[in-house]
Amino acid sequence: MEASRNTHSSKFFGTDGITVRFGGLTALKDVSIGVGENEIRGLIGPNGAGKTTFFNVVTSYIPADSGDIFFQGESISHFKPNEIAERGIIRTFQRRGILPDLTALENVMTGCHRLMGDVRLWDICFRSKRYKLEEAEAIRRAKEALESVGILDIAEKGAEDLAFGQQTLVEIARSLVSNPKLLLLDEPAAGLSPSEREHLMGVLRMIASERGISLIIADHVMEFVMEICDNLTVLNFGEVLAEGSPTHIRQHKGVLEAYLGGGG
Amino acid sequence: MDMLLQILITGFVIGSCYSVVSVGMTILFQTTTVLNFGHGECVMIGAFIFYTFQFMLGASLPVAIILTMFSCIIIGALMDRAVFRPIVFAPHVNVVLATCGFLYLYRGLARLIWKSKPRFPPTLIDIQPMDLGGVIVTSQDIAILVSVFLLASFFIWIFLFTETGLKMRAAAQSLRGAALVGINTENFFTGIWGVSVGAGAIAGFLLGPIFSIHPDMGESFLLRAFAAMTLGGFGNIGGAAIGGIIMGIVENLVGLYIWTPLKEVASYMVIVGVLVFKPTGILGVRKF
Amino acid sequence: MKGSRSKYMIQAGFLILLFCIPLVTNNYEQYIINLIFVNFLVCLGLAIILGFSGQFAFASAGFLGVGAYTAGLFMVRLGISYWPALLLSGFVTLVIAVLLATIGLRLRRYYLAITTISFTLCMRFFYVNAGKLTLGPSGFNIPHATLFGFNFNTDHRVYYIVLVVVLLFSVLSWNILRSKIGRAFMAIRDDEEAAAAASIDVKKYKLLAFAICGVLGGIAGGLYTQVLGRITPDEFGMLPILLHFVIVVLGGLGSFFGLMIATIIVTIIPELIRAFVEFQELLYGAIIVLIILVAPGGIYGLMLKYSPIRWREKLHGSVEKYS
Repeated sequence: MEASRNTHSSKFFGTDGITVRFGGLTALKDVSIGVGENEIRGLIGPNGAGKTTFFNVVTSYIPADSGDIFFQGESISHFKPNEIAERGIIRTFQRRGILPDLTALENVMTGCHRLMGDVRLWDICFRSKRYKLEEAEAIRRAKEALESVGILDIAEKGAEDLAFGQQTLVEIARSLVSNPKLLLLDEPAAGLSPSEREHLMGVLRMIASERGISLIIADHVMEFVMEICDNLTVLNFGEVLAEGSPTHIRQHKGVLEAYLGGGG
Repeated sequence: MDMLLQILITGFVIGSCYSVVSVGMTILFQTTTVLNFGHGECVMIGAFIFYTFQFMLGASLPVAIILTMFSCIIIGALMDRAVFRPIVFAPHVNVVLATCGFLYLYRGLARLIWKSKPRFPPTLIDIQPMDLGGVIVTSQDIAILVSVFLLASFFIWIFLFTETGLKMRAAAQSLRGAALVGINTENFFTGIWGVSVGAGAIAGFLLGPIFSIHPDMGESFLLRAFAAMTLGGFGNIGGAAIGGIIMGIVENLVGLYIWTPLKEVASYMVIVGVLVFKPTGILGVRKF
Repeated sequence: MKGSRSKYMIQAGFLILLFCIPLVTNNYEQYIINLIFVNFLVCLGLAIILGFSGQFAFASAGFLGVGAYTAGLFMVRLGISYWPALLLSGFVTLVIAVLLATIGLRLRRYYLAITTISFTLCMRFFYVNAGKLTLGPSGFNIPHATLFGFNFNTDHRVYYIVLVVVLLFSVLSWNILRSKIGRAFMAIRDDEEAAAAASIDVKKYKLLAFAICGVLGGIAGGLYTQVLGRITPDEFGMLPILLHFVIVVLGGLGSFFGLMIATIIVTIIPELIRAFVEFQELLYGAIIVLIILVAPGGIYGLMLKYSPIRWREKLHGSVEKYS
């Protein structure tokens, strides 16, 4: 069967013609993106270009007015947010979705929910052996994740007492514990000092290469995105403006215009 | 048929007072996002203050009205300055609890000062009830209609045609935007609190002669206001006004045609009914 | 191992203390203590739904009423003994809580608050006006519980029923809160979106919170019948709603220990100022406003701020032996 237009349904992760409207405003228009396995994709664009909206649509917080989303060959547009998380797509938030009243360790442990399906209310109420084992496992995984991002030492600190950079790492650690296949990172480099950014880059590279996790990184910090991403997708006013390697994008006329001319 | 018409008229009159209460609450909620659970008590305090000026201190009607309004506006402003301004960034639970604190405070004060015995203030103007084609209209009805009409006109004029009203509409739409254009939000909030409590006071002395005044009367007014706001859609000022009138009519209809004690719970049933079937209210748009 | 040994000794000592209380109290004091325990249980329910999972559901007093009336009516009108009546009070309230949740779950903050308040007041109206079914507006007396001929007809005897039941449910609740369920609750409270992104089924956990609140409130209601000996509709109206709310916020949202202290304080105050009962409401109001201004985190907040030891109520158990 011949497809009349390029569909990304066979890619590891792809969207086809996603359009999102808020009232009279079109936030995303016909956005079609395809990301391969083990790829680090950058999503860039001036402020308001629609990056966060894109993440919101993919993780099903807002419905798309038209278009489809595919992950590993399956259409996921109609799933609830937690079902999408269960399938292995985990996102982080610009505001850092950190739970302030929990410690860093507990924050990361909440990410283990996906894998802790076996324990029943009864087990929890009466602290059965099965519950204790599962809880110990959750603690172990959480500590391991914290260690892999390099902040095991602050495990018992209250999350609201952490610096923004540390909160970023905690959020990433949390997204790691559930063995995701695809991470959507919303402005991870924002508010970080250059040394923190270096550290973050190391962490993300480790995640991609050692754990085989694909990343889509939406960010503004150009040096960061250019250096770490394999490919970039540029959004402008909700539309895909260009796609390609960092070198290609750096020289792309339309992109330069968008950044220097109109928005940003 | 006569009975029905009577119910409609009376219901409309009482409902317009409910509108005053619920509009007062809605204005406050819309601009400051505070839902004042103690608003019923503000109504009660207004009623008592008016009673004090008019009957215990013997002031004349217009003087009593002015003094009551003045005191209640000050009370509202003080509430904001003393309590709600400092906690403007506190979590919602705390703010709600603070309003509940005033609920207790005002009830306690009223009980101390005026004791729990209900008072029965006479009507505001002293003329005989009139019979208009089978429907009885009391002097209090007329007083209420006139006052509410004046109040509503005044308010609509301010809202739509003055700079203050422009500020209110701006703040209602976007608080940050309003601050950016230089509206002094702090003083503005204080003013809104004053207006809200003042409106409650008006409803208080209008309804006093009908319901009798006692320190526990606030609770039922609060719930009727909630019902009115829910009907009209939370945050919708016009909706709250219409909701109030509907509540007045529905209450009396239920009381007459279904079962008198059910009048009390008419509010709750309306609330639950609306929220189950049409959570945005009949006119409502706002979600929060 | 030494550390946990002394912990067990402290807990055992505390338990023994609790069991010995009736030895040193008179009837009135014992009654107040019974009241504290029951209040704690029902406020724990409210704390779980409001403090731990952030839902503005003020149905605690309503559930208390449902539980009390269920137990009371089953005992008085059907002659059922206390023990099954107590179980029924929990069960019936659970069912009603779940039904309420199906409406309540899709409502946002203030709508939920108003709906649950309306529910509670509707129930109260029902108790007053349902005539023979609920035995009228002035309430009715409840027979004492008996067990193999032993009659629980004093406050001291009733205490042991209350103590055992409240301890049991408190421990269960504690276990639930200090598990992934508790973490899920707090996640939903703090950031619902982030919770869903961490694959937490928000709807399921909100429903669970409602259910727990219902069970705790219902059982507390069942206990209430024995503590008071008599139930009247006025016990389950607007004032208890506010009272429970005050207790939960005073204790500090998300804190078990703060709640305990707050319950004791708030239950005892009216008794302490018996002489000045006219000042009671005024005092409540003033205290509430002061607390909000001065100690917004409640008692737990104060403890965190001023305690010399740097601690927090942990949500994960210490399972070093297994890890």
